[in-house]
Order: sequence, then C-alpha cells, then structure tokens
Amino acid sequence: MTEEELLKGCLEERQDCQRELYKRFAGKMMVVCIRYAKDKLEAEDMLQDGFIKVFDNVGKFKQEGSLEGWVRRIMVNTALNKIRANKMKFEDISETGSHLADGDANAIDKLSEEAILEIISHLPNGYKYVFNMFAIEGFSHKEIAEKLGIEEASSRSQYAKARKYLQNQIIQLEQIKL
Amino acid sequence: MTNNNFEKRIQDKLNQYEIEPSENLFNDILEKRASRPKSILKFTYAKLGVALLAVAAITLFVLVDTRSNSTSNDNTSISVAEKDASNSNNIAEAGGLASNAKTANETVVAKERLKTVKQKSTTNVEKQASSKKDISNSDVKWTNNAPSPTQKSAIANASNNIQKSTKQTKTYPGYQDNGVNISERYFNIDSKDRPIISGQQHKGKSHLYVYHSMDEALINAQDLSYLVMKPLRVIKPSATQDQIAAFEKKQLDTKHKKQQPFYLDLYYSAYQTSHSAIGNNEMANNYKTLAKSNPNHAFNLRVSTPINSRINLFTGFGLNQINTKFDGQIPNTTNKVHYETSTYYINDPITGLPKLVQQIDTILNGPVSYNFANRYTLMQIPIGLSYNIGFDKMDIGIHGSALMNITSKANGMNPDFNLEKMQSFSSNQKQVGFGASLSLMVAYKLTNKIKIIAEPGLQFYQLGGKKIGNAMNENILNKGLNIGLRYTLF
Repeated sequence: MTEEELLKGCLEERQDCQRELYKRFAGKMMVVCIRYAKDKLEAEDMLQDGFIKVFDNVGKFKQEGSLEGWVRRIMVNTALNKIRANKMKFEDISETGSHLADGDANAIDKLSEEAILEIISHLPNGYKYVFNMFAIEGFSHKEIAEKLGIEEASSRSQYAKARKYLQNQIIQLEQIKL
Repeated sequence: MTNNNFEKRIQDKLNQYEIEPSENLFNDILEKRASRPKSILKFTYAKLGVALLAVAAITLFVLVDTRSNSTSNDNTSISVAEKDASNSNNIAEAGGLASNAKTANETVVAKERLKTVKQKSTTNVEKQASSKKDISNSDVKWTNNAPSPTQKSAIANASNNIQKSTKQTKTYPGYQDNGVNISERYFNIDSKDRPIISGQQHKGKSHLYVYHSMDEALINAQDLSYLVMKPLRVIKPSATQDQIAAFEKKQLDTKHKKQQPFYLDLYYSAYQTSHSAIGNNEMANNYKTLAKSNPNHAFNLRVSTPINSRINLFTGFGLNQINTKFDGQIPNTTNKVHYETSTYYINDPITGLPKLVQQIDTILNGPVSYNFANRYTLMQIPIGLSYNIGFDKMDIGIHGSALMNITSKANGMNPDFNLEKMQSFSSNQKQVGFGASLSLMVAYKLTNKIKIIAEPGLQFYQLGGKKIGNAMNENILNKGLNIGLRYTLF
C-alpha cells in the first residue's frame, strides 16, 4: 500500500489503513514517547493519544515533508502536553568534584540502543526534556523555552549539564563493560 | 567528543530503534475514538469567563431594552388613548343624549349635561394655561384630571414656549409621547414633596436620582396621578385608583420612605501582580531576588446599595487565579568545601602504620538559575464603602474595602537554595487570608439601568503559608483595571 493510498484510506476511516499506518510507525513512536515518559505505561498513554490525533488530523497532512516526520511531531507535542499537564518538575543534578572528560567517539556506537535509552530515561525530568528536544528532535533553545515555559538561558544551561552527565554515564558504562 | 558527533550518534541510534507497544493498544485507540463525543468544546478559564460576561451583558441589554420599550411606549400610548377616548366619550355621550332626546325634559337634561361637560373641559384648559405661568422648580401640583385633544394641543403649545424660554431640559430624540418630547428630569428625593429640580441643581447626585419624566408643562397640567415615584423609572401613565391613593398618602407622609436602589456590577479584572516574600532571612531574601511581576486576571460580581446620598455599602465575590513568577539567578556567596579522607599504608609489610591524608576539594559554584511559578486559585470577598458623585450620565465612585481571600488550590515549587534543588507542592486545603483594596470607579450611563464601568485600582493581601505547602508567605500587590457593566435594580 502506497503512502497516498494509506492516507486516503485513513481519511475514509478505513480500519485496515489505520492499522497499517499504526504498524508502520508505532514501534518508532513508542521510542519517542518512552524518551519523555516516566515509564512504559505513561509512554503507551502518550502513544495512544498521539495516534488518536494522527487519525483525527490525517486530512491536515500536506505532504510537504515526510509522513514519519509529521507523525513524530504530533507524538512529541502530545508528550509535551502531557508533561505540562502533569506539572513539569526541574531537578538539579549534583555534580561531582572532577570535570567530566570528553569520551571516545565510538563509545556511543559500542552501546546498545536500549542502554542509551535507559541512560536518557534516568536523567532528571527537566534535563531529559531539554536534551530530547534539542539533541534528538532538533528544536532550538528558543523553541524549547517557549514550549516548556522556561527561559532560553535555562534551556541552554540545562542542556549543557545534561550533555555532560550523559557523556559521563556513557563512558562509565563503557568502562564497566571493558 | 565533538558537539555534532555526540548528538548525531545518539540521534541515529534512537531514530532507528523500535519498541513494540502492547498488543491491544491499537484496539484501545479505535475504541477510544469511537466512544468519545464528536465535538468537545474546550474552554479555558479565561474564555469561559469572557463568554459568561458576554452572555450576561447581552441578556441584560435585551431584557432592559424590551422592558423600557414596553413600558415607555406601549403603556403611554395606550393609556393616553384610553384617557382621550374616555374624555371624548363623555362629550359624545352627552351630545348623543341631546340629539336622541325624545321628550322636552330629556332634551333639557341632556343639553345641561353637555353644557356641564364642555364647561368642565374648557375650565381645565384655562386652568392648565394659567398653571403654565406658575411653573416653578420647587412646586408640583398633583391633580387627577385627564386632558382632552384640545387640552393636549394647548399644553403642547405652552410646553414649546416654555422649552424655548427656559432651555432647562435635555430631550432624548427616541422618546416621544404624542408629539411631546419626554425629557430627563431630576427630582429632589430628599424633600417632602420631591420637587423637580434642574440638571444643575442635583449637586452631583444624579447617580441616585435621575428620572425620566415628561415636560414641566405636562406635569403641571396633565393627570399626574400616574407618576409613580420610583427612582430611575420611566413614567407610567397607567396608574390605578389604588396607586393614586397610595401616592397621595405618600405625599402627606412627612417621613418619606426612600426606595433604595441596588447596583449589580459584573466585571473583568486585568492586573499586574507584584509579590514579595515576607521576612528578612536568607531564604526570604532569595525569594525577593527572584520575584518578578506578572499579569493575572479575575472575574467579579459586586452588589452595592446607598446608605446615604453619597455613600454606598458594597460586597460581592471574585474568582481569581494568581500566578506568582520567580525568575533569576542566586549568586553563591560561600564556596562549598568537600572533605575526603584516604588511608595509605606505607612501608608496612603486614599492617604498618596508617597515615591519614586529608584531601580538600573546593568547588567554586557559580550563580544558579531559577525559573518557576506558583499558582493559587482564590475567591475574594470584599466588604467596603464607596463615596459617589453623579454628573448626568457619568458616575464617579471611590471604593475602599476589606478583602477576605479564600485560597482553595495551590501548586508550585519550593526551591532549596542550599541544595540547589526544587521540590513541587500541591494543595487543595482551604486557607483564609485578609487584605484591602482601593479603586476609582467611573461609570457611564448606557441606558436607564445599565452603565459601563472602568475602574483602576489597587489590591493588597497576603498569600501562601505552610498550610498550603508553600515555603514562604508572600505579600501581593495587584495594580489593575476592572471593566464591566453595572445593572441597577429596584
């Protein structure tokens, strides 16, 4: 089934097309939701709400970008709405005395996707959201500040701390493996 | 690791990764879509308030418009017509008797009656004509006679002459009664017989005693028994005998009972909140450094009534949602020092002598950024007094009140400035606090019963406390503007 046929079928509320659309993107979108959620249950809630929005608004997809990108944007926005509704909480990471060393460029490649996801999900919420939005979704700090209702400077500083923390964690994990 | 490498590698890894959700999730999605209502209108707090305000304003406008139309136009024309008909009928009846009289006696009786009726009618016209000369602002004569068409034209002519000479009245182009303009008049409600006073003589009391009345000539000459003396009422020329009797009794009553108006104000408040933590310790000072002023809004209902010609007593309630914003940096004045100890064993093949080495690690912390907001839902009940002045269509009132604030919900953040951490708080516990408000109301009359209000003002009160989970008590100062409608009830 081509993308065009899929969209047309979804517009006509055909269940086979909706199921196909779901099958194509559910796995990847689940990863998006897990990155923002506190557990799998919350991620599935986000995924459910996100797909409801996708099916409701499929007619608004203008085919200017990729369908996957459009669905991903909806998922991210749904996740952010949920976060806002749950009263976002920013915690600080207590830094250790030593400076974090820059890691090996291959350190990330050596880790499994699951391990990276695990490290990200263990970040304090504020850092996690900012890191996800900036590093993975590609939002600017200005956009992050607007979406999360924080200052642009806060977004930058939180991202810098999160990045440092993640690098450190990745290196430590790699060393343990060795 | 370079910046781009790090982000890109994580991006690549995660964007291709897939985790299968639960099997039934798709069916749940379909079920949820099927079970929900087709269209759900989502109103935010602000939108709901604005919508309610708009509906209330439109309803009041329509109600008042309908009522004033039905009372001022329909009643006037119907009852004047009835009176005319009744007057003409008397003459016609008498004339009819005369022409239909079969016997000489009957003819004489009928002619006598016709003569009497005509004489009475002429006397009335003469009386009215002479009364026009005696029109004064402090003396209104109350009679119970209705004018005939002839009388009306004489009255209208006289009235026109008076209007030309005195120019005391301000006419409303929309109000017409049998060709004669209904004018705005003021009655001195404090005096025993409530004399008519000119617009200039009400001495800033038009907020209480604006009346719609007929022209002075008509008041003196025409049947005035229907003049029901209620403030802000349009004259109803349809009084019953009972009403007339009650009115006359009222005139004789030396202790005149006033009818107190009630003002119902419905208004929206937009204001800027400045807040400051209470106390002079390190924590309070940090709160003060971070406190930023921010906009807030509320919906209010106020009821007021005059306790004398100048002072109104008022109360009501307001629904507020207050956000107190904190944003900024707290500089760390003291450096944190970490002590770590390590034990080394030197030159000791078995246990040796322990040597203690103390390692001091000093961390120089820079300023820490904070950005958070606390939100409170509270109901405000003011009790206060206002000083009022009225200038024709404009009322001015200075309102001062004590405020009782009932906080019903609170949530936000409690920063720990030592550990540089934030902890959220949320509470549904009710808490009562007190404050004060001061405002200057300017009301402009749109119709007899509706005025538009603009009211800049200040509010001061305290918020927060340990009962509702907040670490600090705060002083709140709201500077804002109320905009709404005043509806006058009697």
